[in-house]
Amino acid sequence: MMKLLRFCIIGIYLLGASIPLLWMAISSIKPERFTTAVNPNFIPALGRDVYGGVDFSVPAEVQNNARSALEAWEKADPFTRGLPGERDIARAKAFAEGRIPGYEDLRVILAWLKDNQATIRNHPSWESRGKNWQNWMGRGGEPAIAWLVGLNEKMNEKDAQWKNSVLFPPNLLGYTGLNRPFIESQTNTYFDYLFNSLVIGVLSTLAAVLMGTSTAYGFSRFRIAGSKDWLFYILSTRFLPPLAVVIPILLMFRKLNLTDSHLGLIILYTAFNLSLAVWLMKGFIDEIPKAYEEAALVDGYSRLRVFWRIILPQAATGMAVTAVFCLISAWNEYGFAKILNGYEAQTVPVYFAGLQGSVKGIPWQRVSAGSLMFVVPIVVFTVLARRHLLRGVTFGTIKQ
Amino acid sequence: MRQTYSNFFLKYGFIGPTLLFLLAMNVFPFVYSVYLSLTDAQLAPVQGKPTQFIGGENYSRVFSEPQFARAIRTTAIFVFFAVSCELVLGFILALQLRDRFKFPGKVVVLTILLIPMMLSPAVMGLFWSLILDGNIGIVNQALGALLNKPPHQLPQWLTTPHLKLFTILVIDIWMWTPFMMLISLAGLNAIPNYIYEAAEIDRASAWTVFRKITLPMCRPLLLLAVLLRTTDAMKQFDLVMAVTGPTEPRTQTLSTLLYQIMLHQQNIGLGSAYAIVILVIVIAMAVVFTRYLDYIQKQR
Repeated sequence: MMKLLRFCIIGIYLLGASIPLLWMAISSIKPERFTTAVNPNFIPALGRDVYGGVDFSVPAEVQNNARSALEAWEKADPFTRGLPGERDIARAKAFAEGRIPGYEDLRVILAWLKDNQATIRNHPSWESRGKNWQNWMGRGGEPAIAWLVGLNEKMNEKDAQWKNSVLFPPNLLGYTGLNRPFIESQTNTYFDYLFNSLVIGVLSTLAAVLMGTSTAYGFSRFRIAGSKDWLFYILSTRFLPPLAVVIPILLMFRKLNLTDSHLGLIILYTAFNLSLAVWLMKGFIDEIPKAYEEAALVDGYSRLRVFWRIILPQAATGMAVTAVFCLISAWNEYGFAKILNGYEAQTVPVYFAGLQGSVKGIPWQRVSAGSLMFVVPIVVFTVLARRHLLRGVTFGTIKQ
Repeated sequence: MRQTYSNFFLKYGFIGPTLLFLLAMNVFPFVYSVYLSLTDAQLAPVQGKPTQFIGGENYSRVFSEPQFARAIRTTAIFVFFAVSCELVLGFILALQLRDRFKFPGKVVVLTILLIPMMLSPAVMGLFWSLILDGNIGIVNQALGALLNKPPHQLPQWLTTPHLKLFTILVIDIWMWTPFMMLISLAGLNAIPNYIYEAAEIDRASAWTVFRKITLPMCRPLLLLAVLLRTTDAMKQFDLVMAVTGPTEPRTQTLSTLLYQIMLHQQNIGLGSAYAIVILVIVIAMAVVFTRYLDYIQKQR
């Protein structure tokens, strides 16, 4: 009886703990229209043909129109021919070659067409784009529009069959679409932000672990006046709220031209992670027996050589564990990054949290795919460092 | 004599750079903050209007403005409920998972349970806002299916003003219960088995065993966990920014209030006064915490 209760508690909590990540994985392969529909489709129907029976071949007339429009554009004077959007060209090329750009892209075209037909006459910014697109389809785009509207109806019929089921047709567009910016007016993509996070995280971790190890060795092996006070001072830097210390740093970085740069955040995260690195490494180095060093010192090794040849190899595991914790905290940090790095060197957490207020709706499929790719490395590192988690979260003071 | 000299340089060669670096990154900003808090400095200086020294005016504003009291109250409510719920839940979980009870796959279960606390609050906050969305969120859809109601008639977790703080609490509890569980587990597993055996011989009831043995022996570690979580929860910023934004009065913690004053209103003079007051509170907490850590280290 008690056993059953125990497993119930564990089971319920296990479900609660893992659902957000599971849901993230599911959302990343779920087409957006199923995420935003009021119907929890949550089981991917693998290997089912979504639009079986719908004829997707491009009509010959549309194909010819697109081809002649492309040819005319290529022949025209590059300085006066105008600049259609890259996507317009991609679509025209696809149509000219007789293929469709993909289901989801078709959906975008259709939604845009639907908006367009109503608003094109009274919305100036739409007008240029609308004409542009119609020119691209050749001869006012009429045959293409007629074909697409017909196709839309057939696809809607097929869509209706997913309405009341828990299944959804999975695809990988969340991942393949990550190289486009989430918000159309921006140029940086998810991978740029991921690169920023990676550079800042890895370099600041390296610096913090190296400095932390030597400092921990100093505190562990030498008699230092007020060593305990220094150690507690180092630890207390971790408790400062980023928001309460960031403004002077921001002004300082502005003077030194370090705002919105990788270097600025690397310096800051190194300082921020040093407390963790020093305390964790001190725990690890305290565990290494002094006998080896003393023997080596008697043999005429210098202190530095002892540190390099004896301590570092033995502290390697500790350094790896410390690096994992430093990397995770730099990878997840938000407060400093939000205020210091506005655009070019923005990290992923800042970028994602910033999407919260975006007006045009969030592309959930790609956001889920991006979050999953951001979170999976942390999960892997957590699994690798699971024996040392307790040490990591208590600054090395509690060892199991 | 030569030996001592080289020893001196060696010693401070190991620890000196770190200490200097940390002091530079902490002391200079602190002094600069104190200076800024006595002026009417703006984030983007206005042309032809130099920054003026205005004495303690900012500080009297800090203590007379109602938003400071409100932010302190919000933060206190948040810290109290978050830490206590996490402690209770984490301890209950740890009781089910301690070493005395073995079952296959336990390592896997433990690892999965521990993952949330390592994830990024900002990214998970954004994703939780999809899960808890009033219409399309899985929570309201599941509730709607159970109660046979359309989702928009159910609680709107993200938009109803008095539910917002609750929502952030739920996410925080999801994220940090594993932390309490981890430390509670260490405390529980350190209790030697013979004490329980002795209690069994004395026919102590399960409740007595819990109250007289389990709880007192875990107490030092639980207190450590509470202190650690409290200092951390007081900084709460990421989740609020990702879920409700910095200007929502019902969820405005101290950090988000600072953000609003310094980055939205650009008033870094007043903001620095706030920061100094908050730093005093935080440093007081940190001193309590480090003293306790020292005590625990001596005990073990």
